[in-house]
Formats: sequence, C-alpha cells, structure tokens
Amino acid sequence: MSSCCDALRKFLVEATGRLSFEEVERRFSKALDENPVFSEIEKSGALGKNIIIILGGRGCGKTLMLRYVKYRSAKEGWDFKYINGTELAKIVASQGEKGLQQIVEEHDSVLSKDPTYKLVLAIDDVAEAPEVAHEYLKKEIELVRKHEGRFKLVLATQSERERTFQLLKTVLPGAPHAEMFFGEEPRRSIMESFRSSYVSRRPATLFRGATLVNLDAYWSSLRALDKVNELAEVIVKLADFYAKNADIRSLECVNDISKCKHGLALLALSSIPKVISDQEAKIIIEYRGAEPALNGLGIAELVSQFLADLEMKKLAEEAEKMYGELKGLQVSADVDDVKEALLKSCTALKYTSLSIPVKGIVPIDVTKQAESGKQRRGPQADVIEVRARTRDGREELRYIILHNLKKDKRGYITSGSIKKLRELVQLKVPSEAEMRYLAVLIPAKRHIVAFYNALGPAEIRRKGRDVLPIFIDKLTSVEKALVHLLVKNEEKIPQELQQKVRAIIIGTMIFSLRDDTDLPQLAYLMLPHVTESASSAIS
Amino acid sequence: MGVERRSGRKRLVEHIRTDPFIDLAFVQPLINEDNLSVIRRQAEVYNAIGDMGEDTATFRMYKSKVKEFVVEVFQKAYPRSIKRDLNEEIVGEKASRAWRALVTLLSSHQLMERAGAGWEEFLPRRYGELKSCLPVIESMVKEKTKGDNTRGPEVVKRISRSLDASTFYDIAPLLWWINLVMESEVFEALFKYHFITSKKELIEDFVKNTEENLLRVRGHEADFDYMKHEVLKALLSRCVELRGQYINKLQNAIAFVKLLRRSVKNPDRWDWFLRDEILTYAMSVYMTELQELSELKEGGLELNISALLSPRTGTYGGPASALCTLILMSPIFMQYALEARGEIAVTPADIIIAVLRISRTGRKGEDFIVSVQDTAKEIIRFWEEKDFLRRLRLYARDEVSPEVLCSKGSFTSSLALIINAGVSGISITTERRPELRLPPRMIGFDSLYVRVQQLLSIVQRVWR
Repeated sequence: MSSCCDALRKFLVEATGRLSFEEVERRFSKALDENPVFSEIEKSGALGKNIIIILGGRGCGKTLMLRYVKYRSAKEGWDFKYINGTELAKIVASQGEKGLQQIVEEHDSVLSKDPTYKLVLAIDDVAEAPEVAHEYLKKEIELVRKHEGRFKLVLATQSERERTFQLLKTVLPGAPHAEMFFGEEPRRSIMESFRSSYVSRRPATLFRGATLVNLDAYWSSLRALDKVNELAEVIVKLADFYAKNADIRSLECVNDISKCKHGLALLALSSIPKVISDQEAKIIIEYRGAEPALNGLGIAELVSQFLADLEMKKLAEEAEKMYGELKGLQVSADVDDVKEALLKSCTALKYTSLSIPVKGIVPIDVTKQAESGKQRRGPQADVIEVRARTRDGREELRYIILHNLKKDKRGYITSGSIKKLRELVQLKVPSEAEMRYLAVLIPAKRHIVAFYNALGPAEIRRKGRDVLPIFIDKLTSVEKALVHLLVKNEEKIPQELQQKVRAIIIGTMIFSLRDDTDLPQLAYLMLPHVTESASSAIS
Repeated sequence: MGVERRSGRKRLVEHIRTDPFIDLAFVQPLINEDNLSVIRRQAEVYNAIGDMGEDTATFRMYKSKVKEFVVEVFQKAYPRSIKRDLNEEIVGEKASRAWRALVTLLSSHQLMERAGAGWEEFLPRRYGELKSCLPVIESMVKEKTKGDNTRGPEVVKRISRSLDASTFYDIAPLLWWINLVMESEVFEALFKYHFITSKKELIEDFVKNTEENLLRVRGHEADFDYMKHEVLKALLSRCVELRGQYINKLQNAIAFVKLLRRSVKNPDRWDWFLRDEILTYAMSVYMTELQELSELKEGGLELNISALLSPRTGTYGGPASALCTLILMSPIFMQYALEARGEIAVTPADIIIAVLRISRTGRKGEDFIVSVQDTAKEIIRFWEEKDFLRRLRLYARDEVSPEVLCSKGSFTSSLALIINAGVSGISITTERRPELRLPPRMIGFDSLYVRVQQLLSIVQRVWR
C-alpha cells in the first residue's frame, strides 16, 4: 500500500472513532466548503435560521456539521459556543438548576451589553441532557426571540434516542414563542418533518424562524440506483475532503478511489436502513449498528476498507464492472420479476421466503370447509417471513404475503389475479392484528381500479393497513436491470457479489416500490428496527 | 292468583348464564402475552376502521378452546349443569363479548395515549396493563370455585376487602367494564329501569296521586318516601323480570358493578342503588339522551352495550367506533373519578350531549361556535334535568358552576379524547382569548366550533 493510502486510512480509522468536538475541530480544519454534505445543506438556506435542529442516526456527521457551522459563522463574525448534553448533566449534578440558570444569564447579559455581539450556541447530543435541562432549553429559546438575529441556537441529537422524540414532541413545541419559530402548530410541523423527510428525501425543512435538518434524509436522496453517479461523486469528494484534512500532498489514493467510485457506490447501497417507531409513526433512519450504514461514517469506513483490504478492492472493481453492464442494459421487469427479486433478496436480511398454501400461515375456518364438503387447503401464497426484533428487543413475527396483479397482452389486469386477490382477502389472509400483510404488486397507478374491484366496498378500508397496493412503475431502468439480472441471469453475478446484490435490492428498490399515497410500505414492514440494547450499547 | 310469566320466556337472570365469575373465566385465557399483543393491535384497527377482529385466527382459536377451559374451572361449582348449560350459542356469545370488552378497553387506552390526556383523571394509568390484573381475576375465580358454595357477592366483598387502595382502583374499572359488556342483557334491563326513573315527574306524580287517593281511606297515614321506595323496587322487578323476593339474583349477575364500590357504605343494600346510583344510571341517561338528540327515527331505544360494540364499516366506521367506546366508557370515567378522588368529572359523553342540546335549542342544525362557559352551563342544565346533579353531590363535594367545570382538567381531557378519536364535528377555536389549552399540543382555545351535520352523522353511526 502506498504511503498516501496508508496515511489516509490511518486518518479515517482515527476519525471514525467517537471524537469530542475539540478533536473534530482539530482534525477537520481544511476544505470544509468542499464537503458535499455541507454544501447541500448550505444551499437549502437552513443555516440562516435562528434555531437549527440537526438530526441523524449514529454516524451521520452531526458533530462535524457543528464544526462546519462554527467555521461558517466565524466567517460572518459570530462567536461560537459548544456544549453537549453530558456536560449539561454534569452541571446539573454539581450545581443544580442554578448552574443552568447562570449560563442563560451569562448569554443574556453579554448579548444585552454589546448590541453588535453575535453568538451561536451549539448544544450537541441534546437528548442526553437530563429532564431538568428542558426548562433551560426553553429559556435559551426565549433568548433567541429576545435577541433575534444575534443569537442562534443549534441543537444536535441522535434520531434513534427515545428522548429525541420527547424533545421534538413536547420540549420544543412547549417553548415560549414556539409558534414564531415553527409555525402555528409546532408539534405537528416538527414531527411531520421528522417523519417524512427520509422518505420524501428532503434533508432540510424550513419553518418560520427555525429549521430541521435531517442528515439521514440527505443520504436517502442518494439511496437509489439511478443516483449511483451522484453517490459516486460524493464518495470521491468526501475522500478528497478527508485526504486534505489528513494533510496528504499526493492524491494518488483519491485517484484510486475515483477509478472504482461506481463500484464503491454500489457497495455503499448494500447497507440497510433501520426503522425507529413511536406510538404515532414509523421513521426510517440510517444507523450504524452492527452493520454498515449509508452515511458519513459508513462512507469513511468503506473507503478505509477499500484502502486496506485487497479483497474489498477486488469486490469494488467487480461491482464497478457490474454497474457498467447494468447501465447499458435496457430491459423491462414485470410484477412477477419484482416479486421473485423480493423473495430472493429477503435472505439478505436473514428472512425466509416461502411458497406455501395459505393454511400454513393462517388457520382456515375448518367448519366452513366441512359445510362446503370440499377439503381445501386454500390457495398457494408467496410469503416473506420476517422475524425482527422490536425496539425493546422482543422478537416479532410478521408475514408479508406477495400477490401480483398481472397484465394481459392488451394491458388489462387478468381476471384470474383479481379473483385470487379477492379470495386471499376473503380467507382473512391479511390481518393487521395478527401481523399478516398482503402486498399487492400492481403494474401501474392506473390499474388501481382493478385493486378496488378485487377488494370491494366492504374490504376497501383495509387498503393501506393490511392490504397494501404497491406500484412498480417507479422503478428506474437500473433497478429493472438489476432485478432482471438477479431473476434471469443470477449465474452471471460474481459469487462474492451475489449477497451484496440482494442487499442492494432491499436497500434501494423497496424505496421505489410505493403505495398510492407515495409511502414505501414494504420498507416499513421489512427493514429491521433499531433495538434499545443496540442503541444504548453503542452510545 | 299470581301473575304467571308468559310461557316460552326464559328468566333473564339464570345462574350459569349470568354468573359474572364465569364471565371472568371467559376473559382469563385472553390475558396472555400472545393474545394481548393481537388484541392491542386490533384495538388500533378498531379505532381506525371499526373492525373488531372476530374473524381473526386468534379469536377463532380462543373460541374453540374456551369452553373446555371454563368447564374445567367451574366443574366443582356447577358439577351437574355446566356442560349442558354452556351450549355453543352461549359460548360463542360470551367469547365474542369477552373479546369485544378487551378490544374496546384497550382502544380507550390508545385514545388516551394519542390524546396525551385522561390518565388518572378518568382511569388509572396502569389499566392498559391487563396482565397486572390477572392475579386478582384468578383469585376471584379460584375463591368462587373452591367448592364451599360461597355466594358470588361474598367472594367479591372478600377479595375487594383484601386489596389495597391502589390495586382496588386499578382493577375496579376493568371489572365494571367486563361485567357491563358480558351481562349486557341484564344491564339492558337495568338501564330500562333507570330510563323510566329518570323521568322524575312521572314517578313523583304517580307517588303523589296514589298517596293522595289512599288518604281518602280513613286512618291512612301518608308516607311519600316509603311509597316512592316501593314503587322503585317494583319498577326494578318489572324491568329485570324478577319477582321482588328474587332480587338478589340480580345482585349476583351485576356483582362487580354493584359491590366494587368504596364510596358506598353498604353496597349490597338496594336503597342507594334505587335512588342514588351513578354508574349504570349515567350509562342509561347518556345512551337514551344521545339517541333522542341524534334524531334516530327507526326502531326504539337501543340499550344493549354488546350490540353497540359490533364492528362498523364505511367512512365513519373508525371514528364512530372510537366515539362509541368513549360514550360507553364515560360513566366508568365518572365513577372512577368519584371513587378514587371523590371528584366530579366532565366526560366525553357530557360534552357531546351538551353541544347537541345547544344545537337543538335555536340553532336548527346550523354550524355554530359556542364558548366553553356556555357548554359547561348546558352540561349543568342537563345534569339538573336528569337528576344527575343531586346524585353527584352525594359523592363529591366539588362546587358545580360553569367556571369550575371549565377549569377542570377533565373538561379539556374529554375534549382532547373526542377530537383525537377523529370526531370531525367538534373542533376548538378562539373567540376572545385562549383561556384553556388542549392536549397534546396544548393549543389555546376558549370556544368550540361545532359542525352539526358531521357530528350527527358520526353519532348516528354509533347506533346504526
């Protein structure tokens, strides 16, 4: 390995550990403007607001983002103060609430004394602060209102922490003048932004006087096979950014990375996002637990592995080659192919795919069968058996039953597939309470009529609950090509890439398979949850 | 010559059919981790689309096994008749009611969670953790089936005396609800009694006329109270179709509702129940008043709780189901507030009734805005008219005025529950200044905006 590669790898290994803000500041002092994540956030206008909430799963780069805020605000003459939630807890432990009150008074007095003084207060890991600090936060928000334009509050917290929900649902909306910052219904606006930013791929939501930056949503905007080029560029830019901060003169290693950038992008897409949930909704995040994630930390680790491990380099080269082939492939994929690809790919999540009579998953009413005099086992169903751990660590068993509405030659949905859908619903195969979900793959939105016909007026209320219409017409050409490759030419995929391809399908395609309200319902059902034990062990 | 019951009619209160301990045994197998997780999710579905989930495999499996369980448990208590009397029809009906009781109980739990209001005010915080109630249920069933022919009411009294205050208040609302749903025919008869006695003038005129006529007999001494008491007793006997001397059979059937009271000194007596009862009286008044206000023309009054807990379909299926739960649980909210804290609570049913009464008097079905004070005034007027206020004052020392009612947490909590249940006919607005805050978002308001047609269509769906 060349010395420049070695230096960059060493820098990355050190930089991906848990670093204090001072460490981050010392290590990342150059080319901050060139970081693609920061420039994207900057472009959105989010950093101009008076209150900035930065959210993201572990490894998304919140602290580095604060570093950038400091750098950017310094250029505009702002003073910058950093404090984290653990320090707040220490202050409470040693001085009680008085200690926090003193901090607020200090800020107020310094801002009142000098009308030209401008201050950015960044509170990192704010969810780690004890509950008594919530009043302190509210007072700081009051100061933002009092010294509008001269006092900025930046709050960063990990999305998966349970207290983050408390912060977003009660503390911030309950702060004085919350309406001035977040709009008429602060709680609804904040939570709506948190809930939808990942799936709508919008990293920044601008409110009246505040903004919510979900760094995971930046990465979700690149989590698509038609965005491989963009992701590849981001990887190269990040490598360049790391190299500059590592003080490496020669950019040979960055060139190496650049040669395999598409391959690396594909490997980055084989990471699996996670789900966190509260009583109201499920939220998708990028989270570096035991498996890699598509975020700053994930990319840094991928680059580091690429530089250190020859096997990894070979894998990236293979992936690069495969992307080249996929790009040129013009194939179509119908509902059968998509179903087949999903059934094959679920092994990437250690789920089981089954093709069994429905009686295997739902006891059919035997009395009814006896009356009809027929010995029936029910129709055959293609099922994904999801055994997933919930947030509190319990194992949950869900069944996703896949059914296709097939098109005939004239483009109409076949009556056979409509009849079978009706039969599955009548046999009570879908049941939300018993966690059996019927995902109906539909060729295009205009075919929703056939779906409605199959359900009939009595069962239409199940739509979106346990009977999910999933449209495949949003699949991009690269996604179709990958589906085609996996279903029809699996033997052409190099052995070492086969499992990765499955993971890529899960990591990307389930976001393109959306329902009639544009929600990736399969993602909510299939993606693993962040468990409490995992999140607390890591933090 | 005695008056014979018409042939072919069964007596309403039968020992196996209406034994509340057998009802508990029907509920018992549902309270385990696997079933509860299904029921919990079903409660969500019920609030959203009105589906009760009686076609789920979990319910079917429970139904197919529950008879065996109940027979085994009660073999000692009813050695000869249990197998014969628990026929398929009764088992099916009881199983379905046990399921519905738990689904609706947990649906109210979820509504409170969603609204961020109602805990401790209306029900104990732990009431959603049904597993914690299991030991009490088990000990009740065990005590009843010991084989020493202990009477049901004795068992209830014995167990309730052995519980500390917090456990008692945790378990009582659950047992009231199970009793109300499982024995809904018996309670339907009881509601008939309350319905007729809520017509104060009718009873008082009858008592007055009768005593005045008796005064024409030489030597007769007028005693209006005694006459009223006897008339009420007779009415109760008529409504529940029991001769007076068998009235304790009724007590056996409604043992949890009647005897699990700490606010009453001697709950097994009947005099307080005839005149001063709150829980079942409120249930009857809420149901009759709402049916009259919602202009339901077909058929008569429906007072059967388990019939009201049927699955609903259609656009308002979910909100109507959630509202149905709230209306039927309102008397329990009220009784819990009186028992646990000695306080009066404004319930969701009170608010719905008040706005519908306001809409009826002068607004002629148009949308309107009404201040919270005027709503509270109407609630008090309703309580006075229906002989509620007198009864409430026996158990609580609260001052009852529009200002006091508005400032009660239960007023905003009830409103939050209604709005979060998806009842689109009622929303909040500010006319002068936001005096109250609505959980969970704590939005300020001082008035209610009522869209009468929307509200009516959801309220009507509760009974259709």
